[in-house]
Amino acid sequence: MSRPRLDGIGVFKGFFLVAALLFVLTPLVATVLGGFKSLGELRTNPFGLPDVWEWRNYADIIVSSRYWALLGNSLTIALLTVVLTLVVAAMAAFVFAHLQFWGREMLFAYITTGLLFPAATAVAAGNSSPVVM
Amino acid sequence: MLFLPPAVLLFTLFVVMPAGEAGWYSAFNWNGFGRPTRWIGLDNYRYVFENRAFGIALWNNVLVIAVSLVVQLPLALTLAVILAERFRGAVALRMVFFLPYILAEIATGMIFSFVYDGNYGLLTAIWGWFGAEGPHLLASPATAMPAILVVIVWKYFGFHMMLFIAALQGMDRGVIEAARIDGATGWQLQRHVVLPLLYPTIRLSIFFSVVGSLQLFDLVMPLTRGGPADASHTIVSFLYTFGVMRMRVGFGSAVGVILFVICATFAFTYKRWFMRDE
Repeated sequence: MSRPRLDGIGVFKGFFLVAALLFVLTPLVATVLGGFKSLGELRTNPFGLPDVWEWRNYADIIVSSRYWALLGNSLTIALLTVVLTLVVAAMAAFVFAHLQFWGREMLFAYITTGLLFPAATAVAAGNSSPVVM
Repeated sequence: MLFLPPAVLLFTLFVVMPAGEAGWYSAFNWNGFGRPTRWIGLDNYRYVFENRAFGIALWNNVLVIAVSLVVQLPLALTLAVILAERFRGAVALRMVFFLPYILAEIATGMIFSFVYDGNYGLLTAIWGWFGAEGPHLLASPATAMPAILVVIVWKYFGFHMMLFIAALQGMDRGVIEAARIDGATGWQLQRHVVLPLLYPTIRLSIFFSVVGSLQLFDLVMPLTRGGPADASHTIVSFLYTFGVMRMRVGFGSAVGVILFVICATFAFTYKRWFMRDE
C-alpha cells in the first residue's frame, strides 16, 4: 500500500492517466448523453449535458418488441455457444491432458489452427449468404 | 480417447471443410448460384494480386500492425506499470480502460462515426472552439485510415494493458525486492528487472496484435466501408466488398485463401522463433 509520491514521476503519472482517461471516456460519455438529446440538440450541442432530457429514445427501445426479439437471438447464440464449447472443449482438453497417443501433437496443432480464421472468411466460404452486416 | 471425436468432428465439419471448399471455389469463376462449373485455375489469384485495392488493403494491414506495436503496446505497458501498483482508484481506472474492449466492434464504429462526423461530430465541435471548420476525416482518402487507426488503439489497448497487469501481479515480488536491496533505482528496476520478466507476455501480446490486425473487419465497415476510393480497406473488408457483395465467390475465396496462408505462415514462424519455451 504505497501512496504515489508527488515528485516528478508522480506528476507525470497523473497527467498520463488523466490524458488516457479523457481519450477513452469522451466518446463513451458523449454517446450516453447523446442518447438523451433530441436530434436537433445533438447537432448543435454534441458535448455537454442535454438541455432537455429526452427519455423517449431509451423508452422506445425498451418497449419495442423488436429489441427483445434481437436480445433473445443473442441469448440463444450465447447459451448454445457456451454449452457446446464447454462440453466439447472440456472433453477434448481432458484427452489432450491425460492421454499420450500417436498423433497427439498433430491433432492439437490441427485444432488450434481454428484460431486463425476470421469470421468473415467463413462467410465467403460455404455459401454466399452474407451474415455480417 | 472417446472424448476427442466430438471436438475433431465439429471442427472438421464447420471449419476445415468450409476452408477446403473455399480453396476449391477459388479455382472457379463462380457467382455462388448453382454449381461452380467454369474452371479458371489460378486466374482468381492473378486477379487478386492485380487489383489495386488489394495492395492498399495489404498495406493498411501492415499499418495496423505497426500502430499496434509502436503506439498501442507501449501505451498499454506504461498504463499497466502505473496501474499495477495499489492506490485508490487503480481498480476503477483499470475497468474504465478495459471498457472499450468489451464494446461490440460495430457499436464502436457507430460511436466513432459520430465522433468524426464532419458536420455535427465531437471533433468538429472541438475544432469549432478554435474557430476552425471541422475536417471530414472519414471522407478523405488521406485521413480515413489514420482515423481508423486511432479507433483501433482506443478499442484494444485496454485488453493488452490487462494482459500486462496480470503478468505484473503474478510476478515474483522477491526478485524485485532483491534488486531493490542491491541498489536498483526506479528506472533501472523497470528497465532491467521488470521488463525482462514481462518478455513472455509482450511476445503473447504481439501475437494477439498481429493476428487480430490481420482479421480486422467489423470496425472498418461502419466507419468507412473501406472507402473513400478503397483507401481504408483491410484484407477482410476487401474480401467482403469484392468477393461477397459482388457475388464473386471464387475471387473472394482466393482472397480468403491468401489471408489464411499469411496468418498461418506468421503464426507458425512466430511460434517457432519467439515462443519456443512456452
